[in-house]
Amino acid sequence: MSVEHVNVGEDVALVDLIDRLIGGGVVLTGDIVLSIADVDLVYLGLRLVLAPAHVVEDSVRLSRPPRRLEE
Amino acid sequence: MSAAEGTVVHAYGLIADRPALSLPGGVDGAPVTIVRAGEVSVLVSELSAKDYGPEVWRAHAEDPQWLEHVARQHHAVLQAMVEQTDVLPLRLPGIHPDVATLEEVLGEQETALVRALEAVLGHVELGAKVFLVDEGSKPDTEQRPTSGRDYLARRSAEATRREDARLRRQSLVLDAHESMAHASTHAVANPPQDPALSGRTEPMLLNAAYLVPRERMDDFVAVAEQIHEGLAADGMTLEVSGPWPPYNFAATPDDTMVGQDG
Repeated sequence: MSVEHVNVGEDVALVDLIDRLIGGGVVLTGDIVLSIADVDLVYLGLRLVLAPAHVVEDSVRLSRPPRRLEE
Repeated sequence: MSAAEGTVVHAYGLIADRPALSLPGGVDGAPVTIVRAGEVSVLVSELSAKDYGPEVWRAHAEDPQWLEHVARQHHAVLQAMVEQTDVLPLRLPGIHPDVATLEEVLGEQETALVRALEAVLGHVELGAKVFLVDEGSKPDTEQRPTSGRDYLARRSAEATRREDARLRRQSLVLDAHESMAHASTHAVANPPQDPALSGRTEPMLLNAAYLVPRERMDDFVAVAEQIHEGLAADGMTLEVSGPWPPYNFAATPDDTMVGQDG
């Protein structure tokens, strides 16, 4: 095994990226998109990037709850 | 700096500001600049509201191609930065009306943001997945069952063997996670990825992320290699990826404040 270096470009596995972007990252208040579009809709859209329709519902339900820094 | 007519500000992430950073191109090649507010430095691009304004986001909220396009470019900026300095990813959408408004927001949340960035300073995220690639050989079935009772006994023995193997794997995976967590500052085990999403048919037994000090990355990899060799005997493989921007360890300001007593 070796550590695979994550590429900056198109080579990042999309599933790994989506896995991280959904629920990952700090939220700044004042985001003007969040105020008009249900953010869950965006994350559903991110899931749709890869998912056949029938698995989307399960994936969204299984997506992790908000995390805290402590373990 | 005031926003030009018809633009919005896309915020990528906070950085530990360093001199001589090489800033990558942003969304659709837009320049990436640094907005400073108090102790906070944020990477932003000014984008056309016609292409990335709130109405456009709303219109594309369920448009996979459009979202992938934005997500990849958002990530590319953060990835370019994590290779130079410490970075705290901001969540998508991340659209603000103009720099002045963004500065105001940053000022209001400064304490929490500084705290969240400090939590990842000097660290990167490494990902680790365990896959089951070989469930193990079937028991010897050369001899036909001598009776119905014998058949049932064999069935039962096989079920026991499979359950034992499953429990053993579970325990090995937990040990692996614990060892890697020990080699890191924080660890998080996420739900395994859906095979329909990952395109991998082998069962995923672990989908974890670790916040690892930069100077201990080699140690972490050495631990992972050792684990990988140990898992092979039970038909499992360990795959490590990274360094990633610490998406899994970017707590929201509210989370950070709640988590302070932990």
